[in-house]
Amino acid sequence: MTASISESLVGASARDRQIASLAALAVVVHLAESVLPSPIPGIKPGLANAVVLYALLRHGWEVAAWVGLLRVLVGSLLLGSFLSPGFFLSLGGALASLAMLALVARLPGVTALGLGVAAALAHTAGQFTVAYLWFIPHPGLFALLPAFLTAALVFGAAGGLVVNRLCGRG
Amino acid sequence: MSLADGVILVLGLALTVAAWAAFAGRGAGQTAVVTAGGEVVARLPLDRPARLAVPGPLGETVVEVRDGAVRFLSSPCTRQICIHSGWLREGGAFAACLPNRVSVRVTALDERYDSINF
Repeated sequence: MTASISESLVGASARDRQIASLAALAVVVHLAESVLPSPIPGIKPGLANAVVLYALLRHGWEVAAWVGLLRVLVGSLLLGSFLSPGFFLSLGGALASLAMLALVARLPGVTALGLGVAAALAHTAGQFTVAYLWFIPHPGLFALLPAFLTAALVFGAAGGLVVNRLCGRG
Repeated sequence: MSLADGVILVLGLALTVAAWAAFAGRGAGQTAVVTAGGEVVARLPLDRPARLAVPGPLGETVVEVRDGAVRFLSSPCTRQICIHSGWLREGGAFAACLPNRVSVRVTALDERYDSINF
């Protein structure tokens, strides 16, 4: 009943509601994660990206892209970091990881494990590209790269394993 | 885990290891440039232990390189300010023995900036 009302009022399709609920989930995970302390600023588990992986496997790349970008936008609005350097780093990472997912998802037999690792590494690469081109054009920046890539590898694999478990591919 | 996952994991691991090999420790000092009387007398790579005696107006000043850092080991000057400068390891670090006209400066890979603050 409510579904048909909302459809007639705002023209929301079933796919819109899927995107909305997954994006809401990703935003909540993003917010919860933002209050966790981190030994190195900028290194986070990136669990919100697991929601993007889930969206990709269940509903396809387009839904995943909506979820990933809405997460960045809404998350930054709620945290008050919209249009701040952190927002652009986040956006750069999200765009890079979505581009990577579009490519890697075509590999035959790939599961969330491989997707998660590739997306997390691409996320880090995207962030460093934005940081280098825009904020800190100094080669010393890349001294941070090994630690960030290692974290991406570990957290990307962990997130992928979680999603594999959720999708029953344990 | 599928074959595709395995390929991605191996590539990702290789990329990370390559990043460690290429970038870890970068930004630290690379070479100690030793000057005497305004002339460069030696460039000592900091990853190789070395000891260099530099002649000056007062006598010999000895510069030592060990464990990625450089220091004045001994100098014939009276106040020993150069000795008390201790180990230099960061790019741009500098110490001098003015009485004996010997100085040591650590050069990094990139020195476009004197300092950076955030």
